[in-house]
Amino acid sequence: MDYLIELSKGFAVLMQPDILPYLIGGYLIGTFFGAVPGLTSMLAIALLLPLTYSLDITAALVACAGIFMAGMCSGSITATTINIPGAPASMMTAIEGYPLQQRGQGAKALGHAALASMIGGAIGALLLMVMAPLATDAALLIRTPGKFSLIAFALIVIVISQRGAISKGLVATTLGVMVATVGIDVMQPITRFTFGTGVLMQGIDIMPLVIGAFAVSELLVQSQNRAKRTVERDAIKASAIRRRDFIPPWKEVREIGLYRYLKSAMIGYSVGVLPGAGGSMAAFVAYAESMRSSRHPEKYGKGSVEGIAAAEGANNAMCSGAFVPMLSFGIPGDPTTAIVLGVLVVNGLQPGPQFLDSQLALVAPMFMALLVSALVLVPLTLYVLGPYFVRIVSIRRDVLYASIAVVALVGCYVATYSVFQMGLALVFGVLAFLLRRQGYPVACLLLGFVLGPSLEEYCRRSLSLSDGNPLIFLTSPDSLFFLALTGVFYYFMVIRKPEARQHA
Amino acid sequence: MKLLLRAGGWLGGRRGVVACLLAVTLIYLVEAFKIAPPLHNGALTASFFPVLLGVVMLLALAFVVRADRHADGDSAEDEAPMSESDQEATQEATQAATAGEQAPASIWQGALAVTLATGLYISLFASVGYFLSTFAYAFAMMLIFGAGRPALRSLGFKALVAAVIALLGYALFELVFQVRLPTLWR
Repeated sequence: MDYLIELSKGFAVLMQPDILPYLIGGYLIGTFFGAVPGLTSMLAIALLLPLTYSLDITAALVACAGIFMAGMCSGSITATTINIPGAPASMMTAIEGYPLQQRGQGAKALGHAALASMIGGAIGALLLMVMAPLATDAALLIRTPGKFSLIAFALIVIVISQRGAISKGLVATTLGVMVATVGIDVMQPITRFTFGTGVLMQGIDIMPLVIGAFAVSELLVQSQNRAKRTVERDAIKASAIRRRDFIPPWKEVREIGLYRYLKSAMIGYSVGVLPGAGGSMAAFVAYAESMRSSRHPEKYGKGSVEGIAAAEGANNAMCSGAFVPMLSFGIPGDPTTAIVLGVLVVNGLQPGPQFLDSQLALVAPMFMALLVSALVLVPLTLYVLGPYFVRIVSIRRDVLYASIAVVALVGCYVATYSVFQMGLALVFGVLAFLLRRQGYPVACLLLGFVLGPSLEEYCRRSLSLSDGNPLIFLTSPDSLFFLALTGVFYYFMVIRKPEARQHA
Repeated sequence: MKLLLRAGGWLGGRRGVVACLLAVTLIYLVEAFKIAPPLHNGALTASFFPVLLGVVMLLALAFVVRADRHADGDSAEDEAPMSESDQEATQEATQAATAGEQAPASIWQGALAVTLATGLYISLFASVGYFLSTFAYAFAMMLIFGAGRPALRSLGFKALVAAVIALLGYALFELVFQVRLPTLWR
């Protein structure tokens, strides 16, 4: 009951005039970044990270929730109208939405995408509110060896979910953990890898890593593109849509069916809980399941509204799912929640089993922000901005990237008033650029960096408890459970999959 | 400049990245052993975990080299669902692969220009102050990201936009978020 009261208070806080603009502003920024090809909502949250030093933490979390939710559904607009997914999570929507646009039914496709995003996002947010306290209770049962195995499980799942690039995922993750070891040791007052300089004694802050890996590296990648605008003007003329056509026909909504909406939302939410999966994985799995169970699988790939509903419902539900492990265990489900974790950490808060109990007043407005974004802002933004959207996201690249460069680097400075941090951002940016060019997943670098210190701490604490005997990880029941779970995931994601392909 | 471009081309190639990571790992391992031996009187020391990481990294790099060799002889596409970062990475890896083992120098011109401009901006930021350095940086970035050779009129426009970016940045950080930026008059 107290929990429900806190949630309702969270809604009241969200509606306050000094908080609500952050949700709306965050949502609009997320919509823009999610829709512009080459930009992502993750970059938007990365740029917001330095500003959270000056922002109220509730406002910062609410803005993050708005950006995250908007980034998932706004990519569908450019995916449908000009066949360029603004975000990777909208790739399946492009497959189904663009054929409809070519038949003059683009607005209807966008309406279906928005309706599914509303339903998926709302179900995800409600599931988050229900499941987060249960996950927190479960987290309290885990002891030190179990915590090590849980973090190891998360890191291994992050690595093995990099299909086709597992070894590169392992390199990027290990590199992230290595970067996190710079500074004072987690157990003893000894400095490590400072090379005799005082500036590295406190360790490497998350800020330059995030800004470097996601903003500076993006500038370096985009510097190779010679196009003048983010979306060419010819595409604007071909993408004309009318506002009155946005409302999806009731007959088609009934054909999609409540069960499909629910199932897609549940798939998206479950994928979100898994570390490292992300919105595109959620959309793909829900889309594939929808096609498998459809009465008209032949329509898929030619403009199926079922496919749009499944993909969009799942990727929006994923947003809330990704918050569960982050809030309960301090383990981010994806890079975006890793940056949100950074927002909490820079404000002196450390998520974990006690976090929800002690800081519910801070987190409840964010839960409500996810719900309000899904139910109100998704359809409202489409209705208000939909007809002009492609025109809005077609901007000069020189103006866009010059602005991003200034905000990213000055943001890095204002976080710590240190030019050294700006230099580190450049170093990490160049490193991330080189890694990205060769197919190393940079998201793994961030997740390794975030989880590395806890992995080391629990590893060494466990081994201290057992006088250096590693069998403690097998004799502790909770640890054994997570090790077995790691084995199960490894079997299904790495071993069994290639066998299936061989038989095919 | 040509030398820098060639160096960038080699660094961005498959072998260059592995060689860089290998060098970083070896330096990391040497530094880790300098802290203390991993085990002392049967107890773990501050170097235990870094040494473990260094070994994992060496193994991972060996896997990468092996996987790259296999990939050269295997053109079959992986049609399984991929994570967002993987899709992005795969797309970029494909571009890199088509560019060959060593990326052509022309690809690196933009990246090198951004790196140099950013490095110069960072080095001047505190001494020259926010306004001058940010204006020059925004202007340089507009030139780098502009399509083709800019006309004289377009240079004026870019300078105007760079000034607006610097002013808006100042308004955002100093006025909205109450953060002190370095200026020549303070």
